[in-house]
Amino acid sequence: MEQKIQDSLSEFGLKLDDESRSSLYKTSRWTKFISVAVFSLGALLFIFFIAAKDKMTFYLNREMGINASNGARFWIFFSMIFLMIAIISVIYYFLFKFSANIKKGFETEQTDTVIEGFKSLKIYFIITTILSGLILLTNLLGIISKLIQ
Amino acid sequence: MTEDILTTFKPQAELNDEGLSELSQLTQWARWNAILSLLAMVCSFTMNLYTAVKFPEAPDAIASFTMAILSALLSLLLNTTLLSATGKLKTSLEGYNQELFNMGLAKLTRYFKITGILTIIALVFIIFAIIIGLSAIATGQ
Repeated sequence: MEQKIQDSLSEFGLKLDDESRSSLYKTSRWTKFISVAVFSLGALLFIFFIAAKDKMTFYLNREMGINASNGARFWIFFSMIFLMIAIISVIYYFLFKFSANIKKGFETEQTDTVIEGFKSLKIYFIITTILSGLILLTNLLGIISKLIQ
Repeated sequence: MTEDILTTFKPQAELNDEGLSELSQLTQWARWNAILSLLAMVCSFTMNLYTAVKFPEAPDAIASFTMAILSALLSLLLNTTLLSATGKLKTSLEGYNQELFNMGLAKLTRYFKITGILTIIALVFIIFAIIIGLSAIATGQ
């Protein structure tokens, strides 16, 4: 009975046919571009923050009263920026992995590698969904605080 | 080269249970992503509208409201495309509909294409800002 159901599923199963492979291949090219662009941007911003550290310290001190002498606040500010760059890099690593696995899967004719690619894209969407939820929560709190005022 | 890779992947690889399960989970998370992003956009837009109406004399009120409209439109375009892609993929996975499956994947490609184009635009602006920042540091302003 179980075999019969399995056969039935196979008969109507979804395939990676020419059209779907073409779409996935195009998607992988775009995701590769996006992830490489974000990595490059992260590196550029990192270099910029290192190069402009003194100048930024000056502006932070002038605008927000944060300087190296009040220790924790100063380091928290810079750590937050680097943490954000690190989180974004992790997110886009999974997008890059998706792209690499799809391409490799097509080249080596291995469905398992293509499925690994789907897993990476799933992780990418999980992380971005959690971040979207946090942004939504922040916006809701913002609206509530404005209504209370 | 692209054609080679596509045509040499000879087996019309059937997605096994693991593949279908991964795709199903991927679709669900992407759907939640689109829904939450759309809600976040609505909240952000409401907040900006409220600020612009309540404090119209603020110096950056018009600029921030224009930015809010622009980002709302982009978010709407992106997330409705993702929502449409996930809707098609979800239905195709439930009903084993190959045509709908292909349409869903094509929509997903469009979603990443739009993201890619927006990335190029963002890259140009950010690199421009970095150059201005670095030149300001170099000239000591």
